[in-house]
Amino acid sequence: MNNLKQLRKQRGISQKYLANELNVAQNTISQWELGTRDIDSETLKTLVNYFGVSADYLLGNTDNPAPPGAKKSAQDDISLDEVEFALFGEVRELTEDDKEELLRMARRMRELDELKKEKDKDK
Amino acid sequence: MCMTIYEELLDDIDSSDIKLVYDKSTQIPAVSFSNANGDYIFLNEYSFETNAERFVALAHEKGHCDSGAFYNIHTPLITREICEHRAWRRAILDQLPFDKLMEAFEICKTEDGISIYDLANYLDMPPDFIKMAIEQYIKLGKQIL
Repeated sequence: MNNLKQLRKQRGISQKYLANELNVAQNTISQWELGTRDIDSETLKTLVNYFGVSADYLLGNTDNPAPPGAKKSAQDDISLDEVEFALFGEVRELTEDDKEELLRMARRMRELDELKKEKDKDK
Repeated sequence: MCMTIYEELLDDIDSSDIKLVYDKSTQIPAVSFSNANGDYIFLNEYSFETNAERFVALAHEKGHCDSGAFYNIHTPLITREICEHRAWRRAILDQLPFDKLMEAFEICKTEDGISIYDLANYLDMPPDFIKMAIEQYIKLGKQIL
């Protein structure tokens, strides 16, 4: 069983959202998650970059999500200190929940940047 | 069919360099980011009840992106206030320019005067945003009526 569903849930994104991101049908995502359809090599490469994990982890062949040669995972090397942001609403001190949310979004932003770079490279 | 101002703003963002991410899993209604690769806006549409509220939140976050008014976790609250002010100022100038506001005044004017709610209904914007715009234009020395 592959880890696609788990990775998607961890990121809090729906099948529909991921399908839009990858430009495939939602049903295709569902079939990949159920293992009733193989993930082609090009898509696997995209998914690996998107989630920042190794292909082996995504395919369920290992428990180690770190991509080969990775010094740090995309999640480890982001510090809120380096993030520039602006929160909607009244100006107030940030709560711990706010900081966690901002960090999660900063990671997501980095994933999207990496995905875009990958797409631009393929053009 | 006519586009709403919210749809127009979404179109405007879509054709800009700002990346809009819909994030319904967050408790934060809207937040903008700036990094080396450009600007992002994360929006939880479900945090708002109306498209008028969504419009204002998005216009404000776009104001941050367009004016470069960002901060970090160490920025003092007073400096953050200044950034917020710059973003509102930019949002008002872009989304409710003085001429558009005056046109709405003319159309909504009655014998009894002008109701902020009539203006809000006509412009499809929350009354608070319109009040803020009026205050801003008065500060800028514009003649209101």
